[in-house]
Amino acid sequence: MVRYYLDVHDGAQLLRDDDGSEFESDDAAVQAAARSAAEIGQGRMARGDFSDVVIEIRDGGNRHVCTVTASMKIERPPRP
Amino acid sequence: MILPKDTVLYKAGDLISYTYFPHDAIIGLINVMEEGQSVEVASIGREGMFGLTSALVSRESFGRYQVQVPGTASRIAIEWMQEAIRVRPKLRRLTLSYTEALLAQTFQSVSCHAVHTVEARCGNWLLNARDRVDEDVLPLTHADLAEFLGVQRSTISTVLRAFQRQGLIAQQRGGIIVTNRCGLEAVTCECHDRMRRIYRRLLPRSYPPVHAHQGSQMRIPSTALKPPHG
Repeated sequence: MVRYYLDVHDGAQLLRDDDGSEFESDDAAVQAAARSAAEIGQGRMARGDFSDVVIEIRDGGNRHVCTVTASMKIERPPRP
Repeated sequence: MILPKDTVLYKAGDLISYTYFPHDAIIGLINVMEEGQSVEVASIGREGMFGLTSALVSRESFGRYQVQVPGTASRIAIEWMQEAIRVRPKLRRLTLSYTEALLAQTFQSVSCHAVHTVEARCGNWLLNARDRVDEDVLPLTHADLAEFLGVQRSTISTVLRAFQRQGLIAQQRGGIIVTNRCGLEAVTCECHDRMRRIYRRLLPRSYPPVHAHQGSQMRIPSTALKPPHG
């Protein structure tokens, strides 16, 4: 098990994860970040906020593992 | 008896031998799925009991009963409890009232899980815990709330940060302090209020009255929380 830290971009602020969580692999940490991005996005949508949810994953050695982004794209047909 | 945090009182399939009455502890009834995910189905505090209504016939626990907020409880051998209910009609009525309330609570919580946001559900959980222990200081971590609500820890961190920004809670290592109870009520869904009304009707003395000071900002004692042990 390896400890990973999931930092969430919250508007202009970065919500830094100081405690971290243990996962079996990079892929498991990415899975958790993707689920979390979807959960946070659902909460924002309920408030009419459709902005991207961005989560940065780093490991205990401060290595950047990846960035997970959940975004919602709404396309309306042009008005006749 | 003292119930330390995370103590498992029954696992799924265990023989139920005691009925427990939490004083200030909160116990979660957890359903563990085949792939290992766990879901909180109900939580029980001072308003209720466990190890009786779910064991009327088979006496087999259908989930895991685990201490979520440490505290104290009383327990009685289930045979004694069943005998007491047989000979005391008032006690029988009280346990039936609680059974009805627990069914209503489960009915509400299934609906809440399906349609309400994590923010609302998290607010509900904090309010319920606050009312049950009758303390503003709750020894809960982000990981605890993530487990109880079945979401990721980072999701809980963003929700709690928002609550903190709104002045509803304060956070210290190892715990969450409810600083504005009325404000927290305003960001939750209808479920908390609906449950309180059901309990007031069926079990009028199960919760202490809400004190006047809880509506306003409170001063946070610097020694309110001890650092987490271990």
